[in-house]
Amino acid sequence: MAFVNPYIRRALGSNPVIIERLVDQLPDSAFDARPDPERFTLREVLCHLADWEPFFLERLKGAATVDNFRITVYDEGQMAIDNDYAHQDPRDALKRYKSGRDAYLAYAASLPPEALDRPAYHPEQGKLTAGDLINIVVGHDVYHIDQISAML
Amino acid sequence: MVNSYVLLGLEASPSVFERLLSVVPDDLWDVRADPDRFTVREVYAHLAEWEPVLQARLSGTLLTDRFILPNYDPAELAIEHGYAKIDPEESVEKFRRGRAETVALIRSLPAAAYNRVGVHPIRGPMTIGDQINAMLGHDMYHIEQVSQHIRGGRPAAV
Repeated sequence: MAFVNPYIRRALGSNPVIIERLVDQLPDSAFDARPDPERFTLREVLCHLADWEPFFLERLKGAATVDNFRITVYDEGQMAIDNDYAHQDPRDALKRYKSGRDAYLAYAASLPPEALDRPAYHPEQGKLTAGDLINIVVGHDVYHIDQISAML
Repeated sequence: MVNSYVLLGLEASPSVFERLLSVVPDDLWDVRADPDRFTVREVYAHLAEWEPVLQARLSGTLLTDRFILPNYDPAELAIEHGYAKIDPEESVEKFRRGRAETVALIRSLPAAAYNRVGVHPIRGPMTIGDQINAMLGHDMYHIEQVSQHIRGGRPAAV
């Protein structure tokens, strides 16, 4: 697999494990605490991660296979309401996130190196290559790993 | 290009490492779970010492065409610089200061600089963008490693 760097490939696989380890450190009462009023609770974070994984895969597949692919963006706050994150089982969400990541990693690993340079277009961020999209997934994970680790 | 999430991640890493250290019992700091990898204490010393190397790679690539990226053997540095005796809490603060400098450097780069190419002695050509993304991957490699040492499962609800 021709990721920019082998550390990125490894992080794609290990980030869900890190999140699971962090969640296992926290009491159930942490699931619905909202230390930052502008951000998700832990329960909502896990639902968000689970819901976003198919979107990330859709974007990567689009970039790799469709010329001038246009990325669809979704409103995560609205998604939380529509999909009732506040009442979902966070451990089920974690399982969905890990399963979704397995599918993402398998697809990414199947791409030939030249596919990573294929462009897609994000309505806010402009041109992004398939390789960029993979790096963004890792960055998005870390954004939430930082958030969860602050709950320790 | 470097996505805003990647920069956020690079900025967040020192705090994540600091929080992880707080939940790894200090009697595990020197346990070598994998004979080929660092202990927790050594990881923190490595991160603190490696940050200037990463900065030198970026700066060199910015200024010199096809700059040869400096590279060192992390295991040799660990022995030469006594990582086994360095306080990880001091290391994480040193890492935090170094990372702040790195992020400031990255933020100062013009967009065109991201495509400048340096040459890693092992990995080959790497743009500045590649180097930045690899930094985040390297952070996560060690965050995963340290997270293995978190003791116990879920604490009792309070």
